[in-house]
Amino acid sequence: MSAVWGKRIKNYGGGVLMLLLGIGAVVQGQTYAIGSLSRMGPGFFPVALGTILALIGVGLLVTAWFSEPPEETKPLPPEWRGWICIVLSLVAFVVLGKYGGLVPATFAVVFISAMGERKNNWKSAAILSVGMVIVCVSVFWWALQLQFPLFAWGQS
Amino acid sequence: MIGQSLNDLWYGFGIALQPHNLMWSFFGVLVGNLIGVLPGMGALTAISMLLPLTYTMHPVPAILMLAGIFYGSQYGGAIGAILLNMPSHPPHAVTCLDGYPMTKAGKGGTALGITMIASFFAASFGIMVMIFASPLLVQIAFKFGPTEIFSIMLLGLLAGATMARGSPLKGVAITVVGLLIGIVGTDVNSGVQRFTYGIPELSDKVELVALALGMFGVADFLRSVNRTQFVGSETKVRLRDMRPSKAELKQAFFPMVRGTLIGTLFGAMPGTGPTITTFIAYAFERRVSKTPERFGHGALEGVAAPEAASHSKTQVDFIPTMSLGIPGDAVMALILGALLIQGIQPGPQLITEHADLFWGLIASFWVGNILLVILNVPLIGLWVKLLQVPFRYMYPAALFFIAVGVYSTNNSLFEIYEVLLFGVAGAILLALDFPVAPILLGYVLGPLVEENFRRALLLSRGDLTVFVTRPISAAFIGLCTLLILAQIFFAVRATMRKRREGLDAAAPPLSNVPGIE
Amino acid sequence: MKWLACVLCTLIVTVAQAQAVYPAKPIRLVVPFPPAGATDILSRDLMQGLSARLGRQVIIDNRPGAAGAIGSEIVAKAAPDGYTLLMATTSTHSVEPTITPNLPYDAVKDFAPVCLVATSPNVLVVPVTLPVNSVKDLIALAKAKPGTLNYGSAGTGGIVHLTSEMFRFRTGIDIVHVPYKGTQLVVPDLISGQISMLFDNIVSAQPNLKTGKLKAIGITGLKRSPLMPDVPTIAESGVPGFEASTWFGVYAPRGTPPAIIDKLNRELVAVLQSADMRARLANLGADPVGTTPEGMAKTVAAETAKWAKVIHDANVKVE
Repeated sequence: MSAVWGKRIKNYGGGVLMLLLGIGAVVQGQTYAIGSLSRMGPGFFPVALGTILALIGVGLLVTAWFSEPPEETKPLPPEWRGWICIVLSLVAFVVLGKYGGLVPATFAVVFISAMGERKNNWKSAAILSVGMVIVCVSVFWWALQLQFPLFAWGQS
Repeated sequence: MIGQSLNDLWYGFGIALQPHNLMWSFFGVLVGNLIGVLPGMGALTAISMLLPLTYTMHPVPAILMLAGIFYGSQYGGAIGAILLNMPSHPPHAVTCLDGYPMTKAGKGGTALGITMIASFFAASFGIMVMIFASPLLVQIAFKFGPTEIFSIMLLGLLAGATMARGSPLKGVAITVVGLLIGIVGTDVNSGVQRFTYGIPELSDKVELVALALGMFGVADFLRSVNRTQFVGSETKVRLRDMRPSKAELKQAFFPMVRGTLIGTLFGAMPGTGPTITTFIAYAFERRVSKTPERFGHGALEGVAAPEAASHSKTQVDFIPTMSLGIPGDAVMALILGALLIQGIQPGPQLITEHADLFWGLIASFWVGNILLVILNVPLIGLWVKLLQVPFRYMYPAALFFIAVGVYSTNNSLFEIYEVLLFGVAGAILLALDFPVAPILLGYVLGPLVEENFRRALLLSRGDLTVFVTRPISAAFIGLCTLLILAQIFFAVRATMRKRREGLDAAAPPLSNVPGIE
Repeated sequence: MKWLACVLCTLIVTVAQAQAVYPAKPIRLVVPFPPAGATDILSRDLMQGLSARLGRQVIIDNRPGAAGAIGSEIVAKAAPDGYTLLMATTSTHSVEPTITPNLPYDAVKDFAPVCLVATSPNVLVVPVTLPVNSVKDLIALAKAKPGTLNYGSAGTGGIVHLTSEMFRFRTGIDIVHVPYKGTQLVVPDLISGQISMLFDNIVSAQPNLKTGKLKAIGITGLKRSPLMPDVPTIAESGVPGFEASTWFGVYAPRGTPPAIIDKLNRELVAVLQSADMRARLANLGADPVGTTPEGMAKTVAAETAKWAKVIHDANVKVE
């Protein structure tokens, strides 16, 4: 069941995505002055591009409808753990960077994203993180004079 | 004239090889090379960080060092692109397209070797052009007004949109998406903020580095986590594999030359960036190739041409900056600033008033490039060994480099959110079978196309025919039309052929009926 | 009870220390523009001198974006302890507040002025192919052929644009605005004649002036520039009272102790009086100033009012 859906999504997903993006661009672009071809306003280009994109989206849907289904390739199972960890790690870098400083941010981004791999355990992730903190402080903060406080509690 | 130039060049070597200057040259080149490997950090970051160092230095070693950082970083940028599919800097994104597949096939070392050779060749050529053809190129550059720039950029867009592998429809679609992303920000012609939704950090556009690293680096990690063991192939790479064979050298020769020419041409034009140059070199190479289907799967030409273009452009970039005081891009603007801080006025009189600086700089380009080749060739083995580090250790470290690199571009944490967003978007697009590289092209070219189109019309007071009445512009518009017609022609022919084959396959019984041919 | 006394003592000592030994650690000067731009170079030159006098490093922190709004906002919200300062300029505190709705800072209320350090005029340049040799010629030509001449700018709402609009209004000529992403990008089109005029940065215009690719016909300041003493000011060329220079000044967040502000002001004024600094600033086409904090507040207010009138008259809008 999921194999069939996987195929469907691959085929039609592209078209639907382009269509939605195109329509979005047109809708937003219309809030800016459009003008004419020889006196273009800020909205002209976005609306024109959005229209083209939407048309291509329709074209993709049409070709998907008429083409033969691709071979039975089993779609890869989603990697929620890995994905969530990578996403969270970058968010952590920003949040901890703002409120905690460069060192906690570095540790967080490496540690959290490393935990996304099933084969990594606490220890190896922690060692890697500490290693990267050392690299960070020596290369970026000391040698390259990066403007980022190492520990920044309550500073903006 | 040539005699005089050679004489000056000899004098320049004398200056460049003085121990003090040589040391700073080497330092700059080394730092540039290392920074170039780190994702997100390009010459721009490195130069702004080391700029204060130059205040207490004499102008000659200071500029030698800064220049060294600039072209040194070009060498480093290719390494990440080829071995890890992670362009440290956007112009190298195109190198990923064929460099990374080569790595996966175990030929990463060869790709790096070819890059070194192409880089040195292209840089040398660029230097010679700088010496002998500066005034001529500058004159040509002036003939290019907004109309001409628009036409060229349009051509570049069309060429690029059709160059990606896979469905051409998807290639065009993704280019348009790139164009739309490029619109985010303040509109030059009217001051209106478009698609920024009130976020001040977006009023200066989406950051190119964030876009590139998100789409290429983070997206790749999202797709590979828990699914990949090693980045390269698991076979051991021998030292012999790193040196390109004679056949491969021959294969890469002409692409290298073509890439160099394209880079030189674009380098002389102010306002064109390195990203456009490498994309066009790649697209051009693909178009003239007899076997275009190999591109995207590890074609050597797809690595040699863009890298050559990037390196010759880097050298030639100095021309408008030094002789006119007009920087070609942000990095050149920094170097220009450094000159001003030292009290040196860039411009035509620079050559006469500061002959030691000018000729010393040119000579140092050669010296620096040689140093880089000497530095990098033994290191190729080291980089390739890096591939043997398991993916599960490499990607967290890489994420850290990406985060710090992106932050350092503008001292802004917000842009890391941009990386995240584009990483997720890129992963989705890849899963839906879209090529990702054309987004960068669209992003870079889109605003230029729009800005110059509107500006050309402002200057012509709304007269649309100006694009075909000005000769240079007309020529490029003509090429665009040809390109579109050719595409339609090929597409129609392919569909008709498929239909005919389909009919033949479905109708064999008819041919058995006597009387029917 | 005892621990309360201890806490109080420590508090008093810390506060006293912070006051008495300022600066006790490096100072951060936020420059809301990219490195190697005019503001950045000026700041770096100045801060070298200031660091030497204070005995503490002054670190430049570039925070570009939104025409200076991003960096300004950071300092507006920073702790008023004297360790975070802002190098502001006309665009961040005299123009942006009028032009941009929803600016994330209040140029007057969120800041305490420290010292107006320098002003920098622009130079009006035209291509050599244009048959004018003075501002008077230019005005005459524009009036003879209305709508045919145009001018380049670094973007809508920027200083170059506003200066040009002020010029347009005062002289009553009809010229068309062609925006670019930066003045340097205007130059190729200016040289080839497609653009008729530009209010350019004095220093970056020098190379082309020296090689005769461009002509300078006026300075936008009230007095002539030492870099180009032969070029008359626009005020002396038929537009009396015309003055459009960029000012550069240091701000601290509102609430910074007056003792610290006074000390910074004294040191900055001293730096600005040194011959070495004056020479460096002259190289950048800037005139050193060095006012008191109150003087700065007055000047900025006057400038804001002046530009507000131009913005209103020329109907400049940035959404």
